[in-house]
Amino acid sequence: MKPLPKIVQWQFQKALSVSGLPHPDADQLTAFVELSLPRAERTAVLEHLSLCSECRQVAAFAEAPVTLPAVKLRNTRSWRPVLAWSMVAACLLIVAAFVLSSRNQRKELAEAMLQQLPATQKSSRSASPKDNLEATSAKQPTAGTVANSNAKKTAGTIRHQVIASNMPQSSPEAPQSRATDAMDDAPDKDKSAHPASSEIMAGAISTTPQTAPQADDARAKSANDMRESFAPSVPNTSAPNSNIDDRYPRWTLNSDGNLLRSLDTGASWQKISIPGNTALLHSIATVGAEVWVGGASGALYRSTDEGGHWIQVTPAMGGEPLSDDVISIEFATAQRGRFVTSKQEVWATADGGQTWSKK
Amino acid sequence: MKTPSFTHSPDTLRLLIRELHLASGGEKFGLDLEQFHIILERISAKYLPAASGAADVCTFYKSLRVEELALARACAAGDEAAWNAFLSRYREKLYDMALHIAKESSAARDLADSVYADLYGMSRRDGKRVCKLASYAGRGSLEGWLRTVMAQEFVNRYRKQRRLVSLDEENEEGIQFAAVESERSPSIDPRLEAAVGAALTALAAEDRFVLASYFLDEHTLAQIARTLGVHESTISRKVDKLTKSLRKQMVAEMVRHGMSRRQAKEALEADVRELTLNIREHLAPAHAQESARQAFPEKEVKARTSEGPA
Repeated sequence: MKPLPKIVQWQFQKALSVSGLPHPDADQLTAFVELSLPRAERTAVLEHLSLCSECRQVAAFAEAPVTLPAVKLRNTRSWRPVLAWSMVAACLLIVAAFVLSSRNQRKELAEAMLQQLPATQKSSRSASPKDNLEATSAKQPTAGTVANSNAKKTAGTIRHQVIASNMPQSSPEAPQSRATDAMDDAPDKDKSAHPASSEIMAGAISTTPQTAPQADDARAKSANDMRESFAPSVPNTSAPNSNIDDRYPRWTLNSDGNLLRSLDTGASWQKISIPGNTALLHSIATVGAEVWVGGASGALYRSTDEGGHWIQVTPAMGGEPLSDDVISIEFATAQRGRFVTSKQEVWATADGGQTWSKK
Repeated sequence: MKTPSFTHSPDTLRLLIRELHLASGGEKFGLDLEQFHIILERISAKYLPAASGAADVCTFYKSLRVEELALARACAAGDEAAWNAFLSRYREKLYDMALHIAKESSAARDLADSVYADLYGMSRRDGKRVCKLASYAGRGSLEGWLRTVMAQEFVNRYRKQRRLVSLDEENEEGIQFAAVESERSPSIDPRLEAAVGAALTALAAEDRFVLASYFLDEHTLAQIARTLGVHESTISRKVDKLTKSLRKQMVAEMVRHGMSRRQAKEALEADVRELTLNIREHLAPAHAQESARQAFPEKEVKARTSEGPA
């Protein structure tokens, strides 16, 4: 925020020495602070306060101290993002460590393989493809179980993949299909011989040499296969490098109080307008496809279809509808949630917003 | 409270007052309907314009906190039961409020005791006990009013202490070496002063309140937002917007009076100690300076005596 020029601040300061203005009495100041003055009177008090530093001081002291719900809110605000981001960072570190270590292992194995290549080729030529298949199947665990298997099995998988990437291949589609099948069949740990793996090995051993770019492509595909083979350790398979559930759109509010939605995991954002809403939006909460948005003057909206349709929710207590700003919303489930108003009131629901209780 | 449905006539007003009296529970503190009626009339005479109709009066009466009003006025009248009720509700809170304001235990105790003495009516005027609770009008909550009274007392005390600085402290602060305030500096461009004055005068009261609270009183955005009953981000945007627009207006005003844009921008960064300007002429509405209400009588008198040649 850009500071006010010093000269303006100085002149304001001088303005505060203005005396002789009629001061509002304690009743008016109290009603002002409690937001219960009629509009005309409130404007007059505000006019005075804008010129009288002492009355501003009194008004500031006369504010009720922040109550417990506000403290809870502050704690929620301050710790939840920290914990969430710490978890994200930890997940990323684990994935990065896996990738780095597997790369190193792959490099070492590749070097070892290059040294042993003539011998391998020789033995592969002498043995029948069927024999090779059986041998490979016996050694190789299912691709999807790599993350949970012991070191020996992991080394075995990596070795086979290095072979697949360095050795010539008869079918360019083979690695892709293997990767897909490996992902699909990952939970099936009891299979002794994986058909896709067999296919790769067969291709790897019995094909003719390829040109250099083809070999690079194969290497890149193999690297992808490696990453995908570790995918079971990451919760969301559609986005291996993120632990955010990308089945649902991402939501945010910009500084102008507009609602934004991203359908491509944050790469691009679209402004979403809620029909009939003119209030600035201040807070948002999502539970799966369900979205709650709150804003100025009691604006509260709910969408159960990722923002396709919106329903205005008007909580009321004793016949008085909510009119304060909704400054924070939290929903633990689609049914249970709460929001906090600018008056530090906490409204809670246990039935998805049909009824509300105020604390 | 049940809202009566009737047209606003003197009869309906009387009916409303009877209902409010019942709702206030003043009877149990010895506050009868007649006394209650007089109290309401005095309050409306104080706050409502003389030409207000019965409808305005009804609306005004309905906005009052009649239960707390009856309690406070019964306390002021010396009713034992009312005092017991008052003390059970607010005795502990008085100290908590004082601690919230003074931030320090002994000062808080001192402040709470002082306000309690005023509430109880330890001072006398024309031989009669003067009870501060008699001035409570029920426009806000009684608890909020007590907090405001305490804040006023605290600010008054602070002002007194600030004026009664000892000679030793003045010496420590080097005040005896302070330069005598010079006459108007001839090097300051009057166009700058006019531009600043014009920009400040054009501000709406709420905008001026926000700027003064944020930049001069150093209140937080959250504090200001609570006072105005809006969200913190609204205040943040407002401060940002106002700061930019003030700068823009002042530069434009100076350019309009013949300065180049660069000169105008440089002038805004001028050393404020070189400037003198009677800001009152720019900011204080003339009509507002004519009369002073007696909410802070002591403050006003002393402020006038201490007022310098601004």
